[in-house]
Amino acid sequence: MTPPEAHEVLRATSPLDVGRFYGNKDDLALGAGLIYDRILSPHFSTDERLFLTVKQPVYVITHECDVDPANDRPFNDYVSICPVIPLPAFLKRYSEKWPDREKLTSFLANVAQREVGRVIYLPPGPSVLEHGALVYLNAIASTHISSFVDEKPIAALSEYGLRELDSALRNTILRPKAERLSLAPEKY
Amino acid sequence: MTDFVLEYPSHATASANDVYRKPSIGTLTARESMHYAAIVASAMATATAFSGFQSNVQISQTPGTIQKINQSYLSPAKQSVRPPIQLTQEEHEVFRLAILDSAEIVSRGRFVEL
Repeated sequence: MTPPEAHEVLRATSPLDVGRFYGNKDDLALGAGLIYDRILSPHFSTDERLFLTVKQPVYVITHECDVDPANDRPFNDYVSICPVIPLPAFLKRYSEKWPDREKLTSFLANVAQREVGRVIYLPPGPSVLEHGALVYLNAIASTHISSFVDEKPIAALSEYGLRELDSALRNTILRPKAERLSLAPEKY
Repeated sequence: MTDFVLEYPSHATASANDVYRKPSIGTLTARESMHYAAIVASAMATATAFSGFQSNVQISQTPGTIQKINQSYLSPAKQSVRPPIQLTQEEHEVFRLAILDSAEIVSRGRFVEL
């Protein structure tokens, strides 16, 4: 399946308003819904059981206030990030593993409809987002703020796009625990 | 007047039988009443501020209740529900490999033990 064909599947099934997803990135501070394409960050290699230092496309999760250089306070020099996988890279690996076109079509449709946990679809945008991308929430990591020096964001989410992504992020990380915890209210 | 202090049992004594007991109005001291009134006032202020830029939400005059939210405004994402489809181990591996494909390896390191 080619990236344009995959995009057609995603576009047809996603409830997103694609035209409202990205906004103006000029003058936005680090953390204000920005996406970068080459940020120094860790990636765990299951083969070597070592962390690799890579430069990769990322979405910045940290709130801009928490890394504002104007706020001279401890602990504001690390940034939470999440890898962004350009759609062609995902298609290549998925097709190699499962050449079944119908299986891929079904998977993409489920991702677009938010039926798949821990994966968020980003519609087409500039640069590496040309054909769209997938945000893989299982690989949230942290990197030093100096990794962003000399790097320019390739895209910024709009208020609408940020709300969509935040809702998926919140649902993944902050949804109520399935198990009943100690000291929970009686009729929880 | 007694101070309003929340007390939590220590880990040594906490168990699955420990439950939160909601205080009843009848047991509130004056100070506790003021505390809850402040919480309600804060919630109303937040709701009022929220309604200022969110015209699709109708705020009730009764503290703590939002009467109606335009469903079309809500995100289609399943709120607070585990998505029905979970990735298999093989699919996670596909994602890991796709991340590597879209990254440039700069160096290999070792764990830092924290």
